[in-house]
Amino acid sequence: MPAKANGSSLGEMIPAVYDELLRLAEIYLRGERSDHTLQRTALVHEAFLRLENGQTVSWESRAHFLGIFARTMRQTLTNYAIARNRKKRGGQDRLELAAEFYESREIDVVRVDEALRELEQFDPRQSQIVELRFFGGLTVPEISTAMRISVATVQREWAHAKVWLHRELSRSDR
Amino acid sequence: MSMDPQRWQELKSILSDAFDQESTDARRAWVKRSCSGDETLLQEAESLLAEAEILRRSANDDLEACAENAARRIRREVASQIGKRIGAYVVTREIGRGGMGTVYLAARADGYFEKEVAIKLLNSGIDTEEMVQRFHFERRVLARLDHPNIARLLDAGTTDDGYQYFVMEYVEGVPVTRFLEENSASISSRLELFLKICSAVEVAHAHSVVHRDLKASNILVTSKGDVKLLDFGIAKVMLDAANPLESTAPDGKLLTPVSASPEQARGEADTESTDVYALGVLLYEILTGCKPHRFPHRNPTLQELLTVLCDQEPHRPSSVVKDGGRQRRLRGDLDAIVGCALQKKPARRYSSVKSFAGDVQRHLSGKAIHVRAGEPAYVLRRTLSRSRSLRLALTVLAVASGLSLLLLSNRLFPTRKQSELPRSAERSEVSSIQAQAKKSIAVLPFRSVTPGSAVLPVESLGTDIEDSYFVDGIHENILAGLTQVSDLKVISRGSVMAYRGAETTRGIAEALGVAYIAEGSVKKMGDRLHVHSRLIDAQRNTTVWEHHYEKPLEDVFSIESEIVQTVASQLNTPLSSEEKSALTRAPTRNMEAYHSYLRALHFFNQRDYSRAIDLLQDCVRRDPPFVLAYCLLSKTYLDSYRFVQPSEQSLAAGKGAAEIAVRLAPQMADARLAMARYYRAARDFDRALEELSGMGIPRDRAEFNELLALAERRHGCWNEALRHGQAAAELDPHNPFLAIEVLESHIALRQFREAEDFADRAIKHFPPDDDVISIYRSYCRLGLGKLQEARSVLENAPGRTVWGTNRLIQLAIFARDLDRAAALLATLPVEKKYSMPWEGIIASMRGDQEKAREYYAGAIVHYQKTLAKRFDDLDALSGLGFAYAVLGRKEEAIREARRAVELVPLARNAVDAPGQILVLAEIYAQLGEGKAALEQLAKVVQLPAGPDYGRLKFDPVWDDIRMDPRFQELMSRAAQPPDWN
Repeated sequence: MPAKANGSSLGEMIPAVYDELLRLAEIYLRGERSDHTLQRTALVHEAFLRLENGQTVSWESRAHFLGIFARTMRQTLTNYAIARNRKKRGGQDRLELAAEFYESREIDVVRVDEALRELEQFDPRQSQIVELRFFGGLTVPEISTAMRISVATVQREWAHAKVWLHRELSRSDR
Repeated sequence: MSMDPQRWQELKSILSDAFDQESTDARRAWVKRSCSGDETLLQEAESLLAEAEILRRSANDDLEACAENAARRIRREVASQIGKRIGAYVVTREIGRGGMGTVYLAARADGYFEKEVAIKLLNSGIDTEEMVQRFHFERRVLARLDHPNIARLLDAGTTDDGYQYFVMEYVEGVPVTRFLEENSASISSRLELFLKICSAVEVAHAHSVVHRDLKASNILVTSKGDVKLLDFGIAKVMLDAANPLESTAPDGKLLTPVSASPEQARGEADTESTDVYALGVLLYEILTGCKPHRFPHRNPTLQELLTVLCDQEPHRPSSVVKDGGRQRRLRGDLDAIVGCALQKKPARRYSSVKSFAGDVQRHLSGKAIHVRAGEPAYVLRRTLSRSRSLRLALTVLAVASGLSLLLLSNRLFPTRKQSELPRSAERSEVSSIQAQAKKSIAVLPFRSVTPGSAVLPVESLGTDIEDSYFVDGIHENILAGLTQVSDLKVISRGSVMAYRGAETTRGIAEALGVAYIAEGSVKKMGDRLHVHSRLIDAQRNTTVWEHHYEKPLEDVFSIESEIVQTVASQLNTPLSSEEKSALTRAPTRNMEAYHSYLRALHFFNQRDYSRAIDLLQDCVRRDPPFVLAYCLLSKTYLDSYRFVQPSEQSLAAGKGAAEIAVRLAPQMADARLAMARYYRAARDFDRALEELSGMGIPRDRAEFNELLALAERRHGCWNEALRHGQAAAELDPHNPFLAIEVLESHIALRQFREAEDFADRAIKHFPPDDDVISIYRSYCRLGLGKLQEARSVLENAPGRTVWGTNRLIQLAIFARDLDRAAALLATLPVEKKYSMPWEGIIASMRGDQEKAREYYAGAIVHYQKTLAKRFDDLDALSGLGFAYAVLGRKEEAIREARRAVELVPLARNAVDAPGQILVLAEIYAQLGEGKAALEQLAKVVQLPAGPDYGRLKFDPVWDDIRMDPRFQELMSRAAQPPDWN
C-alpha cells in the first residue's frame, strides 16, 4: 500500500517533533526550562495536534510518531535510570517520579531495556508492542490501531512478553 | 543465548494453547505433549509456564502496573479518588470531569467542619522546581481574590503522586444559561445579571488574574439567586504548567472548547481580552439562548474549529431570535456591543471588561454607547510623557533589544568557549563547495519491494526492518556518491526523506528546486539483489534513463557506484578519475560490519543514539579500518552531546572517534568533516575553519557549508558566511535552522530586501502557523525605519511565540503604545519577569517610580544570582548594568557594561560584540553622558550586526541626543549598508 505521504509539512515535522521531544526530555533531566522551552513546547504541541487532527495525515505517520515517542520515552527513562544509579537524585520531576515508581515495583528499567534488545532479535513485533505499552504508555486498543493488528493479538503478545520479561528480569537478579 | 525466531513462534503458540487449558496440571500436560521429543523446547516452555503460574498467583503484575503508570504519567489520567484523602479532605464523590481534570465533592477528614468543598484535581503533575514555585505563586494570588460572586479558593496543593489540586468553596447551583431559561427572565434582568458577572471578572483582572475559561458551566446561580464564578485562574496555572501532550484527550479528540476565542484556538497566549471575548460569547447566549458559532458536527477537528472561530462571522444576536419584539430589542446597541466583544482580533475588542460592562450599563440607562460613537475603547491611549523616568525606562528597553533576538541561532547553543580569530590568509584556502552547479538533482528514498508484500514506506513499525536498513543504505550511498560529484547540486538526505513514498515527482522537483529526480526500488530474492533505478527530467516529466540490475547480494557496492556513474554521465557531469576511484572503493570488505553499519545508520536517523553507538562499536571491532563507521560514531556522540545530554564524556568520545578517522584516512573529506564537527560542538570555530580549509567534498555538503558559515560569521567574514549559508539552505531546504542563519546574516548586513525575498521562499518549509519568519520580517521593516509595518507584520503573524511577544512589546514601546505593551506583557509567564525588563520600563513610563525602583532592585538580585552561576552571561551583565544605571549607581553600571564588552572583543566575536558595545553606548546615554554615548555608538554603527536605522530613530533612549548633529550623522550612516573587512 503506497503511503499517501503529503510531502513537506508532515514529513519534516516528524523528525522535528522527535528533536523537540528529546530536547524537552533533556530539559526535564536538568530540571530547568530554557528561554526557548515555551517555543519548543508549542512546536511539539502543534505537531502532535496536526498528527491527531490533520486530515491528510496517514496512518503510517501517526504510527511512526507514536513509535518514535515510545522510543524516546524508553531512551529517556533508561538513561535517567543509569544516571540515577550513579548519583542519587531527589526532587519531584517527572522522570524522578517515574523512576521511584519503578523502584517501588522493583522493576529495573535498564534490564527491561536490555531484555527488549534481545527480544527484538527474534520477535521485533513483540518488542515493539512492549515498547509502546511499557514505555510509551499506550493502551492495548491504541497499540492495535497504531500497528494495525487486532486487539486480541496485542493482548496475547503483551501477555507473552510479560511472562518472558519476568523470567528474564528474575534471571538477571541472580 | 539468543532465540531462533521460528522456535520462538512455535513456543508462543504452544504456550498460548496451554493457557487456554483449565488447570495447572492440564497446562503442564499440554506443554509436555506438544513438545514431545524436543527436550530444549520443552525446557524453555516449562520455564515460561512456571513463570506464568507465578504471575497468575501473584497479586501484583508489576510490569502491567508500570505500563499503567506510564500511561497515567503521560496522559495524566487520574485513577478514581473516591474515599481517598486529598490534603485535609476526604473525597466523597465525583461531580464533574473535564479536559483539565476531575472535580470531586469532599469533606474535612477530621469532621470538624461539616461544610462540603469541591476539589479540582488536575490531570497534570508538577515537574520542576520552577513549576512548583509558580504554582504557589498563583495560589497566593488566587487566595487573595475575595469577591461575593467568585467561589473562594480555600486551599491548594500537590498530592503525594505529584498532581495539583484546588480546594474550592462548593457552590450548589445551576449554570447561568439554564437559570435564565427556567426563569424566562426579561432582557433587562438578563443584562443586570450579566453586569454582576462582569464586575466579578473585573475584580479578578484588577488582581491580574485572567480566567481563560469563562463559560456558562463555570458560572452558577444559586437558589438564592446569587451568581458565583468558578475556577478563576486555574486554567492559567494549568495551561502554563501543562505538558503539550496533555491538551489532547486519550481518544485523540481536541479538548479545546468550542467557545474558545480565535487566539486560544490558534494556541496563542491569552489575555484579559480573551475573557472579554468569552463574556461576549456568554452575553450572546444569555440574550439569544444559543451559541454564536455553528460547527459542522459535535466534535469538530482543529481545522474545522479554526475555520469557524477565526474566519466565520457569527450572525447578529437579533437575527437568531424568533420573537419580533425581542429582535427589535436586540437590534442596534446590543448587536453592536456583542459584535465588538466578539471581534476576531483582540485589539479590536473592548479593551477591558470594564469598558464592555460600561457600554452594557449605558445601554441599560439609555445613554449612547461608546462602541457606536465610533470610539472603540481600545484606541484610548495615554499621550506619552517626556519625563526623565520615561527615558530611563526606555534605555533599559534598548539594552534588552540589543540582546534579544538578532542572531538567535547562535543563542540556541550558548557560547561556552571563545575562539581565536583565524588569520585571514588562511581563509582563502577554504574550498568553496557551492550549490551553484547548473545540474541539480534530488535522489528520492528507494522503495523496498518484498515478494508477497505491498510496497511500503519502510518505517520503524514495519516488519521488514532488515530490508529497510538495506534499502536505505543503498539510497544513502547513491545520494552520497552523487553529492561528491563536484558539478552536481544534490539535495541532502534530510530534505528528501520527507518525500518517502510520494508520487508526484514534478511537485517535489519544484519544492526542492531541482531539475532532475532519481528514484528506485529494491527487491531481495534469496541472495539475488534486484535494483531498479530511474532518472527523470522533472520539467519535461520524461524518463531520461532507467535500468534494472540483478546481481548477487554482495555486489551491492558495484551496483551503487554504477548507478552514480551512469546518472552523472547522463547529466553530463562525468566523474574525475579521483572521484571515480573514491567511488568504487567499497566502504568495507566485511559484509557483517557493513550490515551493522547500515543498522546503525538507521538508528542514527531515528535519533536512537545509544543503539547506533552499540552497533558502530560492533562495526569497528569487526573491521577496524572502517573509516565511515568512525565518522558516524563521532557524529552520533556529538549529536547526543548537542541534543540529548551535554556530557563531557560524549564530547570526548566524539573527539576520539573523529581522531581515529583522521588517522586512518587523513585525506578523506568525511574524516576532516568529523573533526570539524567536533570543534563546532566544542565551540572552537577557529579550529573548525582550519579543518574545513582545503578539504575535498564530503558526503554531506549541506553540513559542510553550514559549519563554514557559522565559523566565518563569528570571524567577521560575513560575505563568505552568507554565501555558504545560502548554499547550505539550498542543499537542505527543509532544515529551518539553515534558513534562519541566512536570514540573520542578511539582516546583520542590512540587506533587508534580500532577507524578505529569502523569507518568501523559506516560509513554505516552516510550520504554517509559526511566527519565526514574521519576527525576521519585522526586523527588516524596522531596519528601513517603518515602525508601523514592523508592528503589523508581527501582530498579524499566524502564530505567537514568546519571542514574538517580546518583540511586539518592544515595538509597542518604540511606538509609545503602552497599553498594548502592557496587554502583551500580561501574556508572558510570570517567571520571565526579569528575562526582559518590560515590567520596569512600563512602570517608569507610566510614572510609577516606586514600582519601577522595586522592579530594578529585584532585577539586580536576579542578575547577580545568574552571574554567580555563569560569570560570563552577557544578558545578565547588561541587565545588571542597566538596573544600576536606572538606580543612579553610575560607576557600577559602567563597570558591568564594560565587562560584557571585554568578554566578546570584536576581533574574536563579530557576532556578539556590536550588540555589547551598543549596550555600553545606551548606558552612557541613560546616565546623561551624551558624548561618551556617541563615541561608543560611532564604533558600531557601521558594523554588521550593529544598530540599524529604525533602532536609532525610534528608541527613546536617544531622545536627549537625537537632535545632536553628530547623532543625526550616525543615524544616516545606519541607514546605509555596513562597512567591514
